[in-house]
Amino acid sequence: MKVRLENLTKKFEEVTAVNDATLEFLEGKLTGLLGPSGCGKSTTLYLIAGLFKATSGKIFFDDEDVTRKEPEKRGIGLVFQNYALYPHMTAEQNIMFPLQNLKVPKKEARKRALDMAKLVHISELLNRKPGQMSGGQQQRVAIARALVKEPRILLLDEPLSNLDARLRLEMREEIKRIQRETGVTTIFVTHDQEEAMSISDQIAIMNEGLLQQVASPQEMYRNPVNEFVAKFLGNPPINIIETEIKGGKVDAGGFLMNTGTLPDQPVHVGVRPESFRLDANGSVKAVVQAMEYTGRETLLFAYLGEKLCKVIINADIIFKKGDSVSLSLKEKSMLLFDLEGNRLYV
Amino acid sequence: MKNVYKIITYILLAAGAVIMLFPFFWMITGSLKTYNQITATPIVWWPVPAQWNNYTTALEYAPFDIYFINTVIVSVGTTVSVLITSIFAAFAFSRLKFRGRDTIFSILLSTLMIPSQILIITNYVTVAVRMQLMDTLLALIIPFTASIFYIYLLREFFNQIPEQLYLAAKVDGTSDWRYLWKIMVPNAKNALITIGLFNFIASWNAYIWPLLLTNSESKRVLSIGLKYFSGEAGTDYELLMAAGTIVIAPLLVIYLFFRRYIVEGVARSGIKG
Amino acid sequence: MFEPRWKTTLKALLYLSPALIVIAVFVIYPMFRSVWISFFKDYNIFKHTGSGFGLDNYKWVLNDGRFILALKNTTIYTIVVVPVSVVIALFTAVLLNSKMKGMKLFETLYFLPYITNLIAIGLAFKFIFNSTYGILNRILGLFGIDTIMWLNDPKYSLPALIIFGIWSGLAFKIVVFLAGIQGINKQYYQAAKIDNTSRWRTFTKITMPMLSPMIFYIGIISFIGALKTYVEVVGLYGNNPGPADTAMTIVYYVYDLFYGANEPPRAAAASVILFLIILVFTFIQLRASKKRVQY
Ligand SMILES: Nc1ncnc2c1ncn2[C@@H]1O[C@H](COP(=O)(O)OP(=O)(O)OP(=O)(O)O)[C@@H](O)[C@H]1O
Ligand SMILES: [Mg+2]
Repeated sequence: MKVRLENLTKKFEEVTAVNDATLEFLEGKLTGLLGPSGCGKSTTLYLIAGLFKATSGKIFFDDEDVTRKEPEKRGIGLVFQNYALYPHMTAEQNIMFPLQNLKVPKKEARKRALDMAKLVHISELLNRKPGQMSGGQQQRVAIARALVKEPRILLLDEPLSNLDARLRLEMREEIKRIQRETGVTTIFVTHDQEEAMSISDQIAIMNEGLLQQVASPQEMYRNPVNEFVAKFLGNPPINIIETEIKGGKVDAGGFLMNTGTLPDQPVHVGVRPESFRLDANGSVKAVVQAMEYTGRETLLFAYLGEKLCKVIINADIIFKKGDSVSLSLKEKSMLLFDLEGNRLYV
Repeated sequence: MKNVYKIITYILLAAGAVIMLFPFFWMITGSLKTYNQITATPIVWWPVPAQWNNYTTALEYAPFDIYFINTVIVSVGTTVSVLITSIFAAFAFSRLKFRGRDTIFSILLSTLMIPSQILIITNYVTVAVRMQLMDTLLALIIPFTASIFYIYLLREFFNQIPEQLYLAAKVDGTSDWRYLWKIMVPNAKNALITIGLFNFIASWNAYIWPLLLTNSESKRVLSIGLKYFSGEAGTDYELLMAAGTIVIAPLLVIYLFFRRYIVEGVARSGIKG
Repeated sequence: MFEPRWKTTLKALLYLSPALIVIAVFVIYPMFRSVWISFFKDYNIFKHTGSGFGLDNYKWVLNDGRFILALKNTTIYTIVVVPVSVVIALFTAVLLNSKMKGMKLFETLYFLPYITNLIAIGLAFKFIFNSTYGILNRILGLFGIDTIMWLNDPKYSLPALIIFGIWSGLAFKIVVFLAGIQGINKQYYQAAKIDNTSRWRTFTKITMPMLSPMIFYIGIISFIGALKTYVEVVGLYGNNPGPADTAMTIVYYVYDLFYGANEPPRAAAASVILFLIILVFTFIQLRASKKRVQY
C-alpha cells in the first residue's frame, strides 16, 4: 500500500513542525525520512500514525483518505525510539498484546507471536521481560510487536539510535531483511544520513518542517536540489567554495565551469571530496595542509586558493605538509547554488 | 581513632534505639504483668509468668473484638475506595488531555493547605444531618473515599511511565480502559501498595471523625474504644496496656511485612499531613 | 488524540467523577460553608439558619482567654519541638548513614514509631510519666530527683507533651533525612576523603548544604504539623487538655468549642484563624527557604 501526504501541515502553538508537505511513500518499499533533530520527522510519523491530528492537509493510504481516522483503525505498526515495550510483560506477552486488543483467539495469537519471534530471531527470548534483554533484542521484540497484526504500513521512529555502533549496523541489515521478507511499506525515521543512505529505497529529507527532496539515495547524493541537502548527505561533507558567476563562467578555486545563460551573481560551488582526482596534468595546484588516513583511503586537507578543501585520494600516496599537488575534477562534479541555497542548473 | 568513632556511633545508636522502642516494650510487657508487678519496687522488667488473662479481662470490660472488626471494615473500605478513585483520577490527570486539566489540578492541590478542622465542622452537618448517617460505619468511610494527596502522589508515579507506552498502545488499538488496567496499574503496583498502606494506617489511627460520628459502643473503632476504656479503667495499667497492644499489634505486623514500601514511600514523598 | 476535544473532555470527566464528587462534597463545599458559618453569631446547623452576620465570633475567639492560652501553648510547643526533633533526626540520620554493620537493623527499629497509633502509645507514655509508679520518676529518683507530677503539675504538663511530640515525630524525619543523605552523590564524599576533610567539616560543608532544601521542606511540614497538634494531647491526657488547660492546643480548642461547647460558628471562626496562621507561616518559610537554601 502506498501512502500519500497532500499539503500536510502540523502547527503546535508557536512552531510549525510540518509545513505543507506533499509526497508519496512507495508501496512495498522502505523510505527513509531524514533530517536534523527537531525538523519534524517524528511529527510526520505521528501524523501518519494518527497520534497527531493534522492542522491542515490530507493523508491517503492508497486512495482512502485517512486524515480523520483514529490510529487503531489505520492498520499501522509503530516502533518507537526507545521501543516502548511494556516493562511488566514478557516478550511473548508484549508481542501478543496487540492481537488481544483485536480479540484474536488466544491460540492463534500465540501462534502468530511465535511466527513473528522466529522472523526477528528472538524465539529463545520469549519468556524474558524487557529489563532482561539487550537493546538489540528489545528492538527486535518491538519490531515483532509492530508487525504481528500484519499492518499495512510499518513506521519506525529512530529505531537504532539507542544502540551502540556495531549493533546499529547489524540491526540495520536486519530491518532491511525483515522489510524485504514481509514486503510491508515502511517508513524509517533517522537523523543519520549514512543510515538513511544504506537502508532506504527512497529518501525524503526534511529541514525545519519543510520537505526538501524526495529521491533515491544515489539520485539525492548526486543531484541535491539545494545546498542543505548537498551538505546534509555525505561524510566527509561536501566542499563549498564561495565565488561568483561572471560573464557566463565561474571560477571555483581555479576550476572553471561554463555557466551558460545564468546571469552574473555570487554563488556557492559544491564539490564532493571524492570528485577530485590526482592528475599530473591537472589544471589546478593545491597546497597540502594536513592528512588523515582511514586505511581504505586518505583524506587530504589542501588549500584551493584560499579555501581549505577536503580531498579523498588513494591511500598509497603519501604527502607532507606544504607539498603541492595537481588536481583535476571528474565530469559534472561542480554543483552550483545561489545565495538562498537553491540549486542553479546549467 | 577510627574504632573509637565506631564504638561511639554504636553506643549512640543503641541508646537512641532504646528510647525509640521503649514505649512499645513497656506497653507490651506491661500488658503481661500483674497489678502488683506494675507497682512493685524494684522495677519488674520482664513479667514471669506472662499474664495473658489481662487481655481477656480487658475484653470483658469493653468489646475490643467488635471495635477491631469495625476498624478493619472502615480501614479496608476507605482504602479500597481511595485506591479506585485515585487510580481513575490520576489516570485522567496524567494521560488524558482535556480542557481545564491543569487548572482543576492546581485548584485541588491548593486545597491541601486547608486544615481539616475547617472542613470537619461542615462535614459533620453533611454526614450526620443531611445524609442521616450518624452512628453508622458508612459515615466513617464516605468522606474518605477520595484523597487529593493520594491522587497527586499516584499522578507522579503515573507520569513516570513513559508517554510512548500510551502511544504504542493507542496504535495497537488499546482502549483507555484496557490501557489503564493492563499497563498503568501493573506498572504502578508498588506505588499503589504504598498508598494503600498509608491510607490503611491513617484510617486505622483516625480519631476525631469517628469520635464525632459514633455514639453507640457497637459502632466504635479502636481509637475511640480505647479512649473511652482509658477513662473507665483509670489506673489499671495492665489492662490499659493490653488494650493498647490490641490496637498497635496489627500496625506492628504491617510494619514487619511491608517495611520496604512504607519506608520508601515516606522517603520519596515525605508523606505526613 | 493529543488535543483536548469535547469527546476526550467528557471521557476524562467520567474518570474523574468519582473522586471529584467526593472532593467537591467533602472538601470544596465545606471549605466555603465553614467560612460562611463562622460569620454568624447564631447558627442552627440542623435548619441552616443563622442570624447576626458579622465578625462577632472572631472578636469573641480572639478575646477568649482559653484561645490565648491555646495559642501560647501551641507556640511554645512548636518552637521547641520542631528544631529539637529536626536536629536529633538529622544527627541520627548521619549516624545511620555510617558504613557499618547492623545499620539496616537500626533503621528498622528507628522507623517503627512512624506507624503508631498515638492514642494507644499515649497510654504507654501516660504509664511512663505516672508520678508514683511511672518508670521515668523511678529512674530520676535514682539520681536523687524528687517525684515530678508530670501529668498533673501545670508546670510539667506542657513539657510532657513536648517530649511525647518529639518522640512521635522523629521516625518520619529520620526516614526522610536518611533518604536525603543517601541521595547525595557519593563522589562529593570521595573527593572530601581524598582531600582529608574532617568528619565535622564534611558534615557542615557537604551534607548540610546539600540537604538544606530538604531540611527546610521538613521544617515547614513539621512546623505546620506542630501547629495542628491534637491527638498527642488526647493520647496523653484523655478527656482534658492537661491540668488547668496547660496542654491545650489550638486544634484542641477548636474541637472543644465545636464538640464540647456546641458552638459551631465560633469553632469555625477559630479554625479559620488557625488556617490564616498556617498560611502566614507557610509563606514566610517558603520565602525564607528561597533565599537561604543553598545550591
Ligand atoms: N507535542 C508538542 N507540542 C509542541 N511542540 C512540539 C510537540 N512535539 C514536537 N514539537 C515541536 O515540533 C518540532 C518538530 O518536532 P519533532 O519531534 O517532529 O522533531 P524530530 O525531527 O523528530 O526531532 P528528533 O530527531 O530530535 O526526534 C520541534 O520544534 C518540537 O519542539
Ligand atoms: Mg523524533
